[in-house]
Amino acid sequence: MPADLPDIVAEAPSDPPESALAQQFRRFRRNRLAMAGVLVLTLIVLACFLGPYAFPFTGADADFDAIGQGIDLFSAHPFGTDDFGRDLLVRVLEGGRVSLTIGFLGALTAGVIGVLYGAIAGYAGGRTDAWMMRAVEVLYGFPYVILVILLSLLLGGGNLALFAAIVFTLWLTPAVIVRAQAQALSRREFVEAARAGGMTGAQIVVTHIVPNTLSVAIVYGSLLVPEVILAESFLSFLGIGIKEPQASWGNLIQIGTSAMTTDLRLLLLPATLLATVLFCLNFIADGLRDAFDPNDR
Amino acid sequence: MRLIPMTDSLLSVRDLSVRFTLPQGTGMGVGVAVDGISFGVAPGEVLGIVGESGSGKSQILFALMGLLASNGRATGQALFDGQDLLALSAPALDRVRGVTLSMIFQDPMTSLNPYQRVGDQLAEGLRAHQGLSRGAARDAAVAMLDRVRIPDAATRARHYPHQFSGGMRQRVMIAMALLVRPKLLLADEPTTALDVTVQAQVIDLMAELAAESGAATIFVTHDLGVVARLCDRVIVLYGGRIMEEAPATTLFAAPRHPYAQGLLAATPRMATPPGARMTTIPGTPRSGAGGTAGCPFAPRCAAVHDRCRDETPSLRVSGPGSRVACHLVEGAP
Repeated sequence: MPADLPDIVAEAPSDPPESALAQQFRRFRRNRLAMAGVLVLTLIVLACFLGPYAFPFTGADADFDAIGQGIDLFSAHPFGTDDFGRDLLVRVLEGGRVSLTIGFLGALTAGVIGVLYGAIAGYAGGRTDAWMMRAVEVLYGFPYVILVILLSLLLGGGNLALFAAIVFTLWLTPAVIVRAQAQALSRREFVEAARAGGMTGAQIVVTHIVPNTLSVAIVYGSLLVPEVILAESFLSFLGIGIKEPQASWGNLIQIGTSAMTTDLRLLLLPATLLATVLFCLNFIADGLRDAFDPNDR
Repeated sequence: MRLIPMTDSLLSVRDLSVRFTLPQGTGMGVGVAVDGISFGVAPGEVLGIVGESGSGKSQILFALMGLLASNGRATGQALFDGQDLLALSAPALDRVRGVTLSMIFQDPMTSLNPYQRVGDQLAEGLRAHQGLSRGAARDAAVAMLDRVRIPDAATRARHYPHQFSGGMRQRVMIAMALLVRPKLLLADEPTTALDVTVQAQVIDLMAELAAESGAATIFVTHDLGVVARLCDRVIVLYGGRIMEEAPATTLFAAPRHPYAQGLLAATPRMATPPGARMTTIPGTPRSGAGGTAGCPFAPRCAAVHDRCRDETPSLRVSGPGSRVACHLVEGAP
């Protein structure tokens, strides 16, 4: 090693390795409102998934001695029972399981499909891109409720049909957003350098395009979760989603609405939980956007 | 001094032209960036291509690499290792790029993926082309980072690009290009985006590593100082055509073409008294090339005469290893 070439040690090389994504999450963790959202959401998720085990009965068990019982926090049914004597709290928590699972899994699935589709279209460009995006525009045109009914018929109804229908309609927007990102990225020098290094298109999309669209995808994905939960509730409310006797927030609210004039409690409990979850998710999405947006610093 | 016959060439470029189809409505149709140039590169040789902005020097490299913009088209022939680079299919090109042919880009700030650890980016090529395991590729990458004198290479390999300075990133790019042990290295103004002090380090490092690895290098730059320091042979490009080609020592001692003379005269020197006006070449560089008859430099040439405007001078041998395209140079018919 010749001595006339000094090493550059001006930067502290002892800084731990930190990706841009890790930096962004560090900024996110400083946002109090968003972190409060994360905390409340975590509590609700835990309550929904663990809470029902604390009761000696399930949401399907009818207690014929206590049909239509009102709120009595110190009885066996703290929030009372419904017209069939099923415990309201347990049913709301069990419904939360369904709604939250569909919300997160649906957003994840739609996000993954959208990101990959958009990244491929944006990187490939030209005719491939044009055809792929025309396909997206055609799918955008499908009326969503009719699509769900069709898929329910096709898949024999039930949770799977609902899930498929939600994913089918919601992957389109992330695909469009990511495709715009991928188009810009495909002209960046590091992608050119990867091509100069003999990387194939698939390798470039997976290792270079997709990771660079992740922060946008995460921000959009956080907006997608409440959208999916709302979609599920809406469809269940209409009676084409989750069906009795299985509970979801959507159909619990629907039952609550029909009894609204006589007993507000059946509506309030599921509706409050749904609203709280949506609030938390929106605060989180807001915090993520603030932390991830390079123009807003 | 070496005179390299074309037959021994590692890379032999014949009649390379690069044309761009311009968008409708600009009224220009086709733009010519490189206009029928031929040259060779011998194994282990460092060839400099100099020229001002818009002379087409970078497009030569992009054409060889198959990286032209989508509206660009390269014609001619570029024999490298027995294959015509310009005629290869995309999969065949991927077996050459990053294997025997690699490239260093101009701007180290944008040439690294911000979301990938530096070591992983280096190892990527080895894993893709040489089938090395993750561990072996990482070890090779760390060793190479050490070779380009990144301090504490093993730790640094786990860092992300934004944790490196510009000079260090360019060293990473050099490491990436040399890691696969290419036969030919294409360098597109690798020092332009760097500080002057860092430039010198990077140039010395490239000279050392190129000599050590035995890789031939094409070094595209507009910095004559870099050429003097690094190159065996120089091609002076103007308007997409070769104006002069000569061994570096010959070119710097006695440039023949008026443009090469002008370039050398315009180089600031330590001996220039302070406050003295810098010598410049009058006029502005032409945008694009080709299409018109005559010498592309004619509008700016001090020694221009009628023949220069009507007849394009061809490249003629003007001395041992030298070629010049100028009607004025002695020996021209």
